[in-house]
Amino acid sequence: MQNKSIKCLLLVAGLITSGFLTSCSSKPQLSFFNYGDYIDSDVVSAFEDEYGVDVKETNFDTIEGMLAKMQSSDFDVIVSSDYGIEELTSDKKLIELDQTEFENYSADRLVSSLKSNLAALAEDKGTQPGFDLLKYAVPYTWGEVGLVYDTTNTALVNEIAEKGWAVLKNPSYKTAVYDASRDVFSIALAALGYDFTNPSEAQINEAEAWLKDMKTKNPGIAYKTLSLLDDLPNHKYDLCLNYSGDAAYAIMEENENDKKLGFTIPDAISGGQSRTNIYADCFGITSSCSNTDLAYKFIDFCCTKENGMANTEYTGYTSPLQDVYDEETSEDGYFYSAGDAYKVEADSLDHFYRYIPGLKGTLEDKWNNIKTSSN
Amino acid sequence: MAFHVNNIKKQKTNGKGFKANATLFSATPYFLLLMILVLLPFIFIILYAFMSKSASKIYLTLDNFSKFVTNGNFVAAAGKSLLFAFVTTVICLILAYPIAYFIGRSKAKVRSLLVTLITVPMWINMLLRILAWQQIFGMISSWTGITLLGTDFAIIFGMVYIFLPFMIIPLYTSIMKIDPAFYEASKDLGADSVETFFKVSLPLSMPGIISGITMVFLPAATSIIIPQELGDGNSKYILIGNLIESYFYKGDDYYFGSAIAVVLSLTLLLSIYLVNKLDRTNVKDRSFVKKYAKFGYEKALEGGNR
Amino acid sequence: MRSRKNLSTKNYSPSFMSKFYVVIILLFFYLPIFSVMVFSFNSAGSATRFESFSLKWYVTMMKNDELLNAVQVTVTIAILATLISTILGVLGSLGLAELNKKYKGWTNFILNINNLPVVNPDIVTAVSLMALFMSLSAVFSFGYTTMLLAHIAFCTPYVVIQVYPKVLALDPSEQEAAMDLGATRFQSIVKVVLPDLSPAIISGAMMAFTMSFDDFVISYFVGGKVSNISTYVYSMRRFKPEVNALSTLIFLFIGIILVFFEFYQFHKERNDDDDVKRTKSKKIVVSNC
Repeated sequence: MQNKSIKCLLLVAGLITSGFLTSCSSKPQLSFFNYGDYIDSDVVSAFEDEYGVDVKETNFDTIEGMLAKMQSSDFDVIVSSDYGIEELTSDKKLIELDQTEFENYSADRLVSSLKSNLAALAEDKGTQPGFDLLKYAVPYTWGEVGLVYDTTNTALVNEIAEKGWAVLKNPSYKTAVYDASRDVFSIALAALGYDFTNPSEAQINEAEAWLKDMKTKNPGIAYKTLSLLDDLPNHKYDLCLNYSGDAAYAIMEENENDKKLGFTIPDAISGGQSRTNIYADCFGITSSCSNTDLAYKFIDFCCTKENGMANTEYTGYTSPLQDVYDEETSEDGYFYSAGDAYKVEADSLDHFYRYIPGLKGTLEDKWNNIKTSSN
Repeated sequence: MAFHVNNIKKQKTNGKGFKANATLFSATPYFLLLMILVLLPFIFIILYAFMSKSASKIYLTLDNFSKFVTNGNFVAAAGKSLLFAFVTTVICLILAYPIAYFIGRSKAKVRSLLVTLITVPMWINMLLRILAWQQIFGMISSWTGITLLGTDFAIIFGMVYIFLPFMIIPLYTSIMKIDPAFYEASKDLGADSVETFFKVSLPLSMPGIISGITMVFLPAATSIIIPQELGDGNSKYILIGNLIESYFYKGDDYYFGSAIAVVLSLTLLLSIYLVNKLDRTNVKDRSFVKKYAKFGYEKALEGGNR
Repeated sequence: MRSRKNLSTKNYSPSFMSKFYVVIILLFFYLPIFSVMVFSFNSAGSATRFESFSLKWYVTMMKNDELLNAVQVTVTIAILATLISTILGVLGSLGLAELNKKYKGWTNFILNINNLPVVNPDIVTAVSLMALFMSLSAVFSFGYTTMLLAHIAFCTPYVVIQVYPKVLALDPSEQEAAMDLGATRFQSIVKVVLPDLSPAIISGAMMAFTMSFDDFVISYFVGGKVSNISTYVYSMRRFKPEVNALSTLIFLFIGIILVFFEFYQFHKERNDDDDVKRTKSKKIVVSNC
């Protein structure tokens, strides 16, 4: 009887494996490495149909995870945040884009405030060389870090206007903070008036103390990441440090009850060097890409107005294309009700993160220390 | 009858009967697998723990270990993890024993049905099962106002839920092997069920208990998903597994992460080794079992002759 | 000639409390699964408010190519890994038992290595395997093969843990009796030893399958482009109800297989007294030689 069942299992295994092998189609393949759930699958299917190709998508959940995976695997097209793109280019993992390959996309179509901040990024600043993001990447979504808050809570509204980021220290509000060391440190540094892109050791220590103070004064803070996308629409928190893209999603999806979510970015303190972090998630083509032609076509395809709108409505993150942006934020636009969460306006004091070797590790270390400390 | 007694005598001699035969050689793929895919990678990790990178230069150092051991917060997190794992293991042992006993002593049909029923839930993705509990807790809290998420209860509950099958399976395997003649004999000699449990069942199922403890305690101590999803973001529940993960995934410091993991592994291995020492009825040491076996055989044969 | 095995079933009549307890434990295990199943039919995307009955997530699931791909990967790797690790594990256990007769120290050493993947946090096993494959990157590029190798690497120890103790507890007189009666060593193993071990082999194989099917961390690190169900679920930004639909289907699929299996067993009039079966198989050995 054992022999029979073993034979049965082998047969089933054989069938399934042969099924798997035959499914490796003869169509050209494009491997696409992206955040989970970060592109409209209808857009991808439309691309596959139009060009007769197979797009194989792999997902990651954090940039660090993505960078780690890039060390051991090859992909054709990737999506990465700005500082991830910078790190990849310093490792020579991305090709320099030939702008003439694009029919739909061009840098002129970008939202103006985003464009000026990208120009500022490309400039050299003292000891820190600039980084021309647009040379290696095509912006896909963008936004800024800010506060999601309950607009019906007037005390909270006033306190945000008054104290800015320091409102996070108030234990009377149910608070959540997006658990990313980079983001918490930058707002701490901003609250202290420093430029967070390349902080000195002393500044980092000050920021560490600020954050420790936040944890001590407001011990009930929840440190979460993706699950906030489920919690915020349910009005679980009064106040949350988060990305504008997640805020827009939360506002669009929120449950109808007496609370109402809003998004705002506290002003920089007077004389301060930073306001908040601006980020741009971009497409890039890897240097190991086997089919660059197809890669350009894919990115270009996503940059048509129609597909741009489809993608932005799916992800909830602000589109970097001016025409899409204008349409979505117009009075009958899909994202009109999301307000400032979608309608991001970058400021000259908003900075992109830079790839600084060692900084990530230092910040992660200190953040772990802060989170695990007993008050 | 004489045949049996002769056999037991044979088993006492060590080393006899060993032949470098086909059985041994057929195990070579297994030995190769262990060397290349288990031992070698593990050596890598140990090496990583002693390395560090600064300005892209890799060098050997003890810094990782000192950094971990001198950090009160991290050590506290490790301690918390071990505590949670300990409580989980104890609860699993208590909950698992009755059902493992039931399964171990049931007929083969019932046994295979129950074992399958217990293993099938494990085929639903662990993250989904924990998320389901997260939602159930959320529902309970909106109906009754009792907050369950983000409490010690939730973490331990989640760990017990996930690891209970890992305790039941080795336990029932062990209990299954106990000759019921022992229970009969114990009863005949005047012991009640409590005494029988402590003097017969417990010692004879020790290998299963040890195996179960190994399979629950260690993974529970390094669990990532359970504290993350059931801890509701509370910083109290950042356990050692989450820390290790952050150093591998986010902090890009494989070396420090490896060091923490190595320290933890060694601590756990040491505790398991000590627990193993407590077990005198280790399967490897058969003299104890043989004494009972002989007794059991004779009892069984007596029973057969009646 | 009676065997010690499975005689535990003799004289056991469980009390009502025992049976009740078993039911409670089973309910405990299945409660979240029922919750997943119920909400897979929820027309709203939420998992806390049930709106109305709907099959739309099942439709969405069918259209989700990534998810279906991930399922294929998970299933094929689980089946292959289970088969290979079970074979390796059984052969390994038999070989170890042989080795144990003379070289106890070596056997213990090998068993300790065997337990490393069980003992280590899975993230450590994951990174260690990744480091190994990176250094062998000329031979292996991360993908299906590396994932499969990794799964075999961490499943085989579980098989050995289940099978090896059983091998040690075997009564060698049975195998000797078969050989005395004319069977070759190979025949005696296949017809006497393996059937004796079959419960342990099956439980080892089931453990291996389960560990492989549900694995996340190791698959994530060594899988490269290839994703399985777990890595797919973990990287979901927003909770996707079609995953509930998938889980429900997996669960029902397994349930149906098991019901068939149980009927098959029942039909074969499986005797719960296993020695009768073994006596039969020994008769076969004798009559064949």
